Amino acid sequence: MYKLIQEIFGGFIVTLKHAFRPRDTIQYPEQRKARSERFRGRIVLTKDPDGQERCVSCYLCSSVCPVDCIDIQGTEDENERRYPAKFDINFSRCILCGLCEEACPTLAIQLTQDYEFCSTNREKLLYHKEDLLIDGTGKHPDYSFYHHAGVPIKGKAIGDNPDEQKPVDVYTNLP
Amino acid sequence: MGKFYIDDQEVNFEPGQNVLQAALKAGINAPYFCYHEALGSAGACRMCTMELEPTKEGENSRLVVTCLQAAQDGQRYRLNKGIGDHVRQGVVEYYMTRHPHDCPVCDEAGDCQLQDMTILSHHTYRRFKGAKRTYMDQPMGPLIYNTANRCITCYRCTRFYQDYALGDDFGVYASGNRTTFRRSEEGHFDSPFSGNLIDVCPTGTFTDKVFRRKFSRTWQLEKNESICGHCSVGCHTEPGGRDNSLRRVHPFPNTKVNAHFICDRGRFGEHFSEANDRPLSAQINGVVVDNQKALDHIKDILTKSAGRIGILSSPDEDVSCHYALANIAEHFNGLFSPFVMPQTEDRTAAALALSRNTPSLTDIETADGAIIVGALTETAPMMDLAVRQLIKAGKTVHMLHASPTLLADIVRKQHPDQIHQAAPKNWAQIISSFDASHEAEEMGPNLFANLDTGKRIIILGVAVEMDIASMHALHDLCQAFENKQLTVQLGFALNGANATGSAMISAQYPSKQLLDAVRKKEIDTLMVCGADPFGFGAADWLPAREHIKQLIVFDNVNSPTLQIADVILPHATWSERRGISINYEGRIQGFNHAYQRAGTLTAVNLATALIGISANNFYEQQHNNIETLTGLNELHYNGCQCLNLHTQFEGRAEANQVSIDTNKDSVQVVRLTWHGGSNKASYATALASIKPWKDNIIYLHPDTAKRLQLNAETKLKLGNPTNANDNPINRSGMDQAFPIILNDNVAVDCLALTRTTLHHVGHLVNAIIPIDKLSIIAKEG
Repeated sequence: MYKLIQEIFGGFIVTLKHAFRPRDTIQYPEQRKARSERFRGRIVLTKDPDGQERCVSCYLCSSVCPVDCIDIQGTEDENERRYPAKFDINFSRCILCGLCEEACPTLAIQLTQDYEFCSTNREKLLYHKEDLLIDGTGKHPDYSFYHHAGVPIKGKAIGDNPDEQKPVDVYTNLP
Repeated sequence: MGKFYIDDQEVNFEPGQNVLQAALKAGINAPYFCYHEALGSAGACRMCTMELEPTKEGENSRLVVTCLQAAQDGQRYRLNKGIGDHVRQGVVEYYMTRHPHDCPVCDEAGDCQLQDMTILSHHTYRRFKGAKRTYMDQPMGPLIYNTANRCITCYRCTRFYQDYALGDDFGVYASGNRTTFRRSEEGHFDSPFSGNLIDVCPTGTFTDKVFRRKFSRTWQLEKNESICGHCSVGCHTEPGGRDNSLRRVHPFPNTKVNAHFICDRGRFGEHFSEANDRPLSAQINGVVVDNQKALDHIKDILTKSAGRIGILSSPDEDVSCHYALANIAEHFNGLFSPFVMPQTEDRTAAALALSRNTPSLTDIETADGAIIVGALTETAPMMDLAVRQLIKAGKTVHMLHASPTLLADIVRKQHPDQIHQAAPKNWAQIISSFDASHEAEEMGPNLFANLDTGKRIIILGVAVEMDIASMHALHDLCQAFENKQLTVQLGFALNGANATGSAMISAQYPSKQLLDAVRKKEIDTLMVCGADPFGFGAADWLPAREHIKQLIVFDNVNSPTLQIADVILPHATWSERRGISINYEGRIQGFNHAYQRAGTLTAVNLATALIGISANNFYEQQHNNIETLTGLNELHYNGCQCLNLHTQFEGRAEANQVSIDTNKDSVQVVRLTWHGGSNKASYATALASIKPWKDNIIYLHPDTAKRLQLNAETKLKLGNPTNANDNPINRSGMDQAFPIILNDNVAVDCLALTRTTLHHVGHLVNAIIPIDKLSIIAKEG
């Protein structure tokens, strides 16, 4: 009998204790939780420090994507700089795994802190390039792929990179 | 036949094989850069290094470059187990000290041997902190893009371009650490095989410039083995498409036809399907409608005019297309023909009937001598590449030609006496004088006098340039050589990829029947598929245009005929459909679509819509038909079976032998063509932009100019052409006078004209014009 009473009141005591503890739940959307720095939310395409598109449409993100939600068609502008003519991400498929960000050799595709982009319309979840491209460098303020690549673009000739020698003169045999 | 071991795995080899070759054949993942099956070993890259175990006690193991090491019985190699792996890692690390950080923007990535080998050798980080060596990129025309920094100096490109394809405008520059590979000057390559540099290069130094602006990674392309539809050789290709468009064409290696390479016409010419003006939707009287509506409309027209219908296909279309259209024609009680001109049909059938033991490309490469008649490079470039292997091996190659051809330039450089230039009207006579039985000098050159009995020679003719008499002369020449105990193989390069299949079908559906019916006004509805009867070089059809009330054109290029059509239907290209093609040897080759393009139709779709035959029934019927026609039981479409050309075309060499006017006071019109100038490939914009000849200009030999008293200040007017029935033809260029350009490579008494010029003036290829009909006009100003 004593044991029975102890169990009932013991349960009440636990409940009472929890009533005065700090809450684990928060009042979303009025209150928001702080997210980790590595949080993987909505995907954006960033630009390099010169304000040019970073994406060179190498197709690595679309290839690595486990759910095949990225569709790209690359092309080249008159300055021989490559860019995606089409860059679509279907967010109704995307699982925000971040593999695309990991694969991106130019640090163009980045996952942001934003996760509030649900919709009742699937069409609206198909993001095109104009929806994805932001005016900024994102997490990597300094990196510009073309400052390291060997290909020339307008304003950067062959041999202009800090880790490149000047072009070889192929018409001389002098040392 | 012996065996050696790699990491304890048994590898069988044939005598003469090297270790790497045998290992690759056995399916071992052995690393290499500079070795290539067709180009052989160079030992330049040191990537195939393996460790050879000692055979005797007391000896040490040693490192060997396996592409230079002849395979020997019982040897034991270590590939992954010994220090070889460490050495290869060092080799790749050395290459990577200079290789730019380009993979994301490099078209080769994904298809790149350097990437594969780097991963295979476990190299990951660049430890070298020094600066990278750089080169200026060289502009190489509209087809190939050069990024010189990426080169790892494996020498495969020059070994292909100079040693294999005998080109001389590209080579090695500088020396030692600064070695690079480039053309002597900026601009496009002269060789018709330059596109192979893209495949041969193990890095991204040479990439496909046409592919560049619509680039996709290799694994994203829809690919399939297909057959090239641009000449009668029928090479196996692998077109890659994506999103309703063709992106690139690669060779599909097969030992039966093209072992490794394809020509630029096959690689870049297939991009005619991407031309901006390609018809991609059905049109009725200039109004775009959907395909079903157009098909219903056509069904109405055909039903109404049943009995007065003609259907015209072309040798550029495959056998399935011909059969489907022939079925439609028969259903509506009309006439069908796979050839536009009876002349072409006769020549093609005669060439096939006179072929003797037709040589395959491999047969050509391994022969002991050759006689070439006509512009072979410009008609069937891959045959030319095979003949170049003969020239490289120092074999005698004689050449008879009228219009400029690249192969003649190569023969001329080495043996100017083996080049014979003459107008086609004189060819029969000249070929007879080649007769090997004549010993006397004055009877003409005694060819191959130094060849021993039992050796094999190849004779190749270009059917479109030859008259039937000269084909017979070539056939008689074979007999003469055989009397001298030489083996002879005679083959003809034909006009049209499926010329053989078309000629086979035309026995039942002769073109003369259709053309006569059109002339007699018995036909008022004409459906044209792939052909161009009112366009280039088809003068016989033009006067008939006014009798045709309804012109239905089913095509994939914006041809002159399509521009005047009443109803247009979009046709799928060879890469976009299924079909069967028969090449110049009589080899039966099936192909299937590599990618699909929405909105296009095939002839089988047409048959289904118009006469209600289901696709399955159609293919079954077609299979039985071909079996009956060819006499082949258990027909396969994998290219293993060849038609017996001799029995198939028996008796068709005698037809319509036109007597040739060898009148001295006349000049002959010859076609001026180039390796990218086939019917369809000439619509491929990038390839067409490097066309070497100008339109509306007459090219002739300086001696002809002297004889006609022409100089740079005068123009030449060709007079009024007539068709076979002596009706004058009205053409825009008829009254036009053309400026002349002197060219040593045009035969004397010949006027060389491009296809477009021929179209303007209305003259036929090989037309003979008496000198008194020509008029010379002084240039104004």
